[in-house]
Amino acid sequence: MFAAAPDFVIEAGSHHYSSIPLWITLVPMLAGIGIYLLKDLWETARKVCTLVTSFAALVGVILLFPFALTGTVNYDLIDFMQMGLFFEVDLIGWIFAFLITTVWFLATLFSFAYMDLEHNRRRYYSFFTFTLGATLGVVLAGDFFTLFLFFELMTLSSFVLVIHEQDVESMRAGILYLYLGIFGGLSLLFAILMLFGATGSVEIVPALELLGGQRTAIYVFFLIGFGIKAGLVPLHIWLPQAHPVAPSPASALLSGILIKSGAYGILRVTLILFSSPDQAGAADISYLFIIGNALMWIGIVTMLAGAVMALLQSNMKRILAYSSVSQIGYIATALGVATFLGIEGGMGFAGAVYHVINHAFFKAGLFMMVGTVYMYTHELEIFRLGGMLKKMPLVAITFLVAAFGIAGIPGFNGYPSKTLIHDSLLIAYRDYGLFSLDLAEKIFVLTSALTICYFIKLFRRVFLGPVPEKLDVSYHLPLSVKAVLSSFALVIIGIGLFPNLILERVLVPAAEMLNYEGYAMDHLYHFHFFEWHPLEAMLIVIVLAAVIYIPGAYRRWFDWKPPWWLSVYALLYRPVTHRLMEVTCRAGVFVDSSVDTAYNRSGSAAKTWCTYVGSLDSKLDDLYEKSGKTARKLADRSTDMDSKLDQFYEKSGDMARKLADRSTDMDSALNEAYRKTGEAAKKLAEQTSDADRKLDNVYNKAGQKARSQMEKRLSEKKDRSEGFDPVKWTTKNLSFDTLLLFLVLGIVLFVIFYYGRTN
Amino acid sequence: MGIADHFPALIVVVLFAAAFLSPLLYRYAEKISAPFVIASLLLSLLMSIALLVQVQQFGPVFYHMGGWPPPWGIEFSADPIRVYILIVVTAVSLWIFLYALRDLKHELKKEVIGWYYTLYSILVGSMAGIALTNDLFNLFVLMEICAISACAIISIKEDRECLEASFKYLILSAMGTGCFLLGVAMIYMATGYLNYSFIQAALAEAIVHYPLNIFTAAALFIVAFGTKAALFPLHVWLPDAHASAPTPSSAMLSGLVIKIYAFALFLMFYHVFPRGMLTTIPLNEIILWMAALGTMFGSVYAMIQTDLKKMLAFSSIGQISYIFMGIGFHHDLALVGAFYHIMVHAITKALLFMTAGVIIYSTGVRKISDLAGIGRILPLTMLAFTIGSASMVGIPGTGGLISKWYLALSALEIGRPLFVLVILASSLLNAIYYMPIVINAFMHQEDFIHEVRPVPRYMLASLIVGMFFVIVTGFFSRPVVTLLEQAAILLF
Repeated sequence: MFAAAPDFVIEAGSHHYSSIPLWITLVPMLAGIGIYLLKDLWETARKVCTLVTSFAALVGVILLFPFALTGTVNYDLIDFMQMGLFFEVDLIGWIFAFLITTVWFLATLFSFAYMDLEHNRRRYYSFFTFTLGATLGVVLAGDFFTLFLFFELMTLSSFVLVIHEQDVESMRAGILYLYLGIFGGLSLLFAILMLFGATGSVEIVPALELLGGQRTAIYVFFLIGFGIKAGLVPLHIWLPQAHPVAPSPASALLSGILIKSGAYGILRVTLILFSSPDQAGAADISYLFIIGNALMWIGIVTMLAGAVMALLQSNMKRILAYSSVSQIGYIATALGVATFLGIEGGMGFAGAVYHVINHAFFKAGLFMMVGTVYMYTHELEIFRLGGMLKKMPLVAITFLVAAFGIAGIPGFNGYPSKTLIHDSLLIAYRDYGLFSLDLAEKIFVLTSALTICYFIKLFRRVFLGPVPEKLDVSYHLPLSVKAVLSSFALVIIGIGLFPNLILERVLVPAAEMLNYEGYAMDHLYHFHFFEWHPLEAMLIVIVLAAVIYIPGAYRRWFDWKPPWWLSVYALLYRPVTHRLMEVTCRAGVFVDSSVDTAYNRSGSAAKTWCTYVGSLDSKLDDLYEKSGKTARKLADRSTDMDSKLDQFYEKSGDMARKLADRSTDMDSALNEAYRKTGEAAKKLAEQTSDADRKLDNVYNKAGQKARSQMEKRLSEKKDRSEGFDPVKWTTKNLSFDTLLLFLVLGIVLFVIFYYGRTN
Repeated sequence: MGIADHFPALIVVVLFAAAFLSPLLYRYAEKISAPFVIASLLLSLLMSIALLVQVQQFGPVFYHMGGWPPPWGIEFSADPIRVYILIVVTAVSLWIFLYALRDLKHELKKEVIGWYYTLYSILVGSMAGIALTNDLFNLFVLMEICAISACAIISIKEDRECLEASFKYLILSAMGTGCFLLGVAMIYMATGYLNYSFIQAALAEAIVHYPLNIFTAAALFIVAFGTKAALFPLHVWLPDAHASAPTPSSAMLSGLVIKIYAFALFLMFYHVFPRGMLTTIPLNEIILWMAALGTMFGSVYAMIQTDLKKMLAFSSIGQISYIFMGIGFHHDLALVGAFYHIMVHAITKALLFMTAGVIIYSTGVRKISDLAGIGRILPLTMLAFTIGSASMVGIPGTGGLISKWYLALSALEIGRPLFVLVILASSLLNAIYYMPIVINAFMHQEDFIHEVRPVPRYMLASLIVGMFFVIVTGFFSRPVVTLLEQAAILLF
């Protein structure tokens, strides 16, 4: 395949405009949706569709090779989603794309045998194919915005693969994966936004000098965004949970491929966006030294922590998942070294990319081999397995090959990439002579030894020893599984035996694109892997592994279960999330309790108001009574006056009486009228006092009612604050709301006047 | 004068006329009453689109009611932003109405449905009027019409919760309108005008003589529109009102009504107050901080809800804050983001309320925890919910991302990355309360336990239309954004 490539002459700036990248990403996505629409009965059609799609993607990527080697392949859809969709495939992107499609194709073949025993196959195949398109989009993207889009799509669609089992464990792992994925996506978006704010573009081009003062923040957010996906310590916590619970072919892809998209992002950011080897100024070199060193140390810590944790696990897939964490540490270390070495960083770069390739093959292979064991035994605990060498010899042999690959045994594929990374560390130590770099190199050797240890442990427990009774039946592996596992083994051995092939054909041209020069590059052109110097380093690792493993196995060091409080989750995440929740809840409770006090205050105010009204009431009552009495007195007086007037009339002379006959008639009528008014007044007075009393009663009752209601409310409130129910946080009291409105009005007025005064 | 010259007035008139005819029609010719309302909504939508074409070709249109020139007569004005809002209002309300046709039969008594049509048309007509009017007192009248019809479409359901909620809404919105009227009086005292353009011209000088009046008016406007649009500390009426209302009303209130007030505040800021005022007095700063708190607290409150519709209502508080944030940034890109969000959120929140309505219609479930496993029973409905929540979170491919993108960009442009963090953090909070529902709906192990009755195709069709537009706004935002950019740039 590589032989078919034309002579590699680097023509800088040769852009080839082609829509192939778009189709490579679009076809699997559409096919994924299409597969979901196929009926459950058409199992074969679904399989054919999946296989054809992954093969088509592979062919598409291979078609791009000649163009990628001589320049870039570009394609854009400017009107798409505001920012436009840009594809740009250079050699680095092509390497990742080729890797993805190859491993995906093999995983598809493996899925057919594996998934026949699983449920919900329609959803699996659909999202499996969709994720292929999204992942390819990440590495074919021409700018960060496009990359971000595909990155999010990849997170969301691979989530469905993680929770395929839908049991408690996988749901928990899946939700952690999703939340961290979304968090990572958001920090990525933030970084991209800041980049856009600083430079006005989201292209992946060297732009260190344009970034200005925000560059550290941008770098940190990029590192968080991609680091979560890659599984860098301490952002790796989702990885050992999520990778083991997925179906094996999906775990193989998650561990072998998807975490590489994070590594790819880190590579693009640190080696392209943040460095400009051709025009690095003096100030930038010291800055690059800092971020390169930081990345390298994150890588070193990741590598060591992953290896130690892998050694202590007893679940096969979990060992492999932690091993992935550890191997990503190698890649991050190499990238860090490449960053701070500047133009001398070719070795680190080549080592990182080479390790990406190798890790994809051996880790995907290992997951599928372990998956084959699981497929027939339904057992993941290594202590309940054993003797599989006799039962599945092919699996055992291919597993051994892959384990040799990951351990870095010469002749297998891990060896050349580890050698390159080791050499780049040595070059760094030679150039800078720092103790820390020497230490890093020593940790690198230790980690490599630990890697060998946990694979010895895994191989011994699973494939050697007696076969448990329960599992002592004969197994028949289908042809597709055999073919897939053998092809992984062949690739591993092939790369191991001819390490210079990939290095010279692909990695060196890629490194030249990044303008690496100097000693490292001279060395890379004709690197001699099978010389004494690199072999010696490997020999030291093997001896160290023996020194660690033999007493360790004898004294059962590796069965030690680290206490829970020592995990990153307990040390870092739980306190942080707890604190965060506490602060949020506190704020909520504070608002609520102030609303509560406002309720209580308004309640007690209403109460005093009611008593006040009550007292006013009784006063009013008194007033009524008094007025009644006065009215009565007035009436009495008027009758008095009446009789007096009568007497006065009588006393006046007889003559007058005669004369006044008519008038007396009238008089008596008047008199009667007077009396009647008096009576009416009396009645009225009585009635008023009656009404008064009734009103009084009503008032009293209303007051009592209001009071009792208020007390009830208050006691309810008290109950609620004791058995605190956060659902009822909504504020319901209208008077309080109005108060709030005026409070806000007051504040706004104050602010406006305060500033208006100074202007 | 051709008929096209009367479009600004006709849009409102057609809707009001339909409002008064529809109960009659419902009584005597029930079959054509709903098509009649649809026709009137469609007619006003078409006229709005024609108006947009007209405005883009010949520049802003000013329409004088009854031929009376502005300082005395009422003036309607149509510039690209107003017509854009007009189109959003008419289009979304047409879509919600199509959904309502089926849902109302389930939620309301038969004899009040005709009255519902009336209230609905009045509501849409008054919102169209608010978008178009260029006169403060006319705005006041339309706001009152809008508030009363909005209360009525909540309380028309006649259960205890609805009555309580609509009463509270009525009182608080009356307080808001009262503040507004007081502000108008202050401005009228200082300038002697009620027409926006005249006020803006006169205020430049009047602010020197009557600074206190103008400041007080500004504060009153912020509180008035803040109350009506549920800006964070003034949001207290919203959750009850939006959650208890019949579903089409919830969709209408959360989708459009609160936004029209945010838009009115924008008009005050940019078309009534003189240009220098926003930079010298921190009006936008106040809005900005209230909005920033709102995005956080809206999400935090939504997180602890157990009732689906209530959660959606609280989520609206967070989302309206984005729009206010866009107004508060005082930057052209931010305005693009805010106006884009008006459209996106109108579609998305209406879609989400519709899915909630379908779920309630079909299963009677309102509690979030009872929704586990529902995705396998109502796949299309929950797909709509998924797409809607993706837009709320701002996942690429949905409209939510575009508006957040512009808001974040402008926050960086004005040099305040803190607010970018606020936007992203609130997106994360949105994800925390929307995602579990989706995951539980599709991935829950056990099956859905409640009884399910089939969903009418009519409702599903509206959901599909909604999904389609959520995705279209995510992928093909260029034409709208270009329109908004051109309009926004003129304001600075």
